[in-house]
Amino acid sequence: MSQKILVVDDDIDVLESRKIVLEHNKYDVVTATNVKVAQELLENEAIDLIILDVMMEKDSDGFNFAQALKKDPLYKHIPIILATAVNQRTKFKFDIEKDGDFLPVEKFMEKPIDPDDLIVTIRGLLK
Amino acid sequence: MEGDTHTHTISEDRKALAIMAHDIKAPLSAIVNLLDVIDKGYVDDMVKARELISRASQKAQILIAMVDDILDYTILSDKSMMKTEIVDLCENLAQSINMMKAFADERGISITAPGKGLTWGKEKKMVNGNYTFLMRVFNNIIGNAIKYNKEKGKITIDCSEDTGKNTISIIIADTGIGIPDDDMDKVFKIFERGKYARRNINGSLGLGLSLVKQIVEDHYGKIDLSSTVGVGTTITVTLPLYKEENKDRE
Repeated sequence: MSQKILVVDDDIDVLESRKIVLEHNKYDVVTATNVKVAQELLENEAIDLIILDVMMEKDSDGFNFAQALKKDPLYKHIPIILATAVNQRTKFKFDIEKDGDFLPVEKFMEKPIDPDDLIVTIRGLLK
Repeated sequence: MEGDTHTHTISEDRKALAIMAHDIKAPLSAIVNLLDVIDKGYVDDMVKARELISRASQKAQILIAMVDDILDYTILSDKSMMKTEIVDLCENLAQSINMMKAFADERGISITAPGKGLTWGKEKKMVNGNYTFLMRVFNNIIGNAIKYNKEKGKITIDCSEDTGKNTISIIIADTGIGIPDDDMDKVFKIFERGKYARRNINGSLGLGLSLVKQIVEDHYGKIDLSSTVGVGTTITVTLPLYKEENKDRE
């Protein structure tokens, strides 16, 4: 059975391009444009991995959602890739080693995410 | 929390720049994503590939509009760069409505402009100003009235003339989502969009209404806003009419 990936981003063009890449690599894909829909999908589908945008309706939607999931016994095992547009070039520097306690996601990736890099990362997290 | 520490180390100016950088980078990243899936061979179907290219092109147009906002803002910060002429405000507004009509139709929004004296071409209402920037005022206000309207909503455009003060007011009312009281003082500030105007989806830098206010004030006019959440927003732009004896103001 294919592994299922939830992609959360408020830009439908980003969702579409991620879906194409993931389906091409034989993953099942469900998408959400906000955290409310994402939460509903998590409750109804067996999700293996989440790709989560940081800034959606509010600047911190992605952070807050990731933090909530990592505290929830039902979902904390699901690996999260946090996609961020702000990065090392700003003071918003994310580093798993440094920020792991603050935000224990499995991977930060800087937008635009290269599709090939994304697949390599997902394979690493789901093996 | 460590994330808060990061945030508080940035000055307000840098924060504004960071927001602008994010808002430009988001559509740019989407364009790269859309083109990458084609370039890297994830799409075999030519029809699908064309659709993705078209979507990338639309995103690029949004970026161009953002850059235009920045350029306009730069020009407005130096009045000597803004050239003025005697402009027929009726014609200017009619042009703007024509430009925005396709956008309104796309979203099922109707625009009615009963406009006493603004029934296109019958009576001229001259102001001393910059044609392009005045057009930008109406485009931005009508554009917002379309973007933040309800499904099949309405926009009504009217005008009133104060012969005593020798001013003309253009009143643009929508049946949109409205602006909460807490956000009323933010809508004309640079980079502010208010909580009801979602980040990104409309491709806005939050410069739109701050530009409108700046342009109107540079034309010795004023802008008034009234709004009720769930009912709609009315924006009134009041400008001095041009008369020969006002020449000294040029």
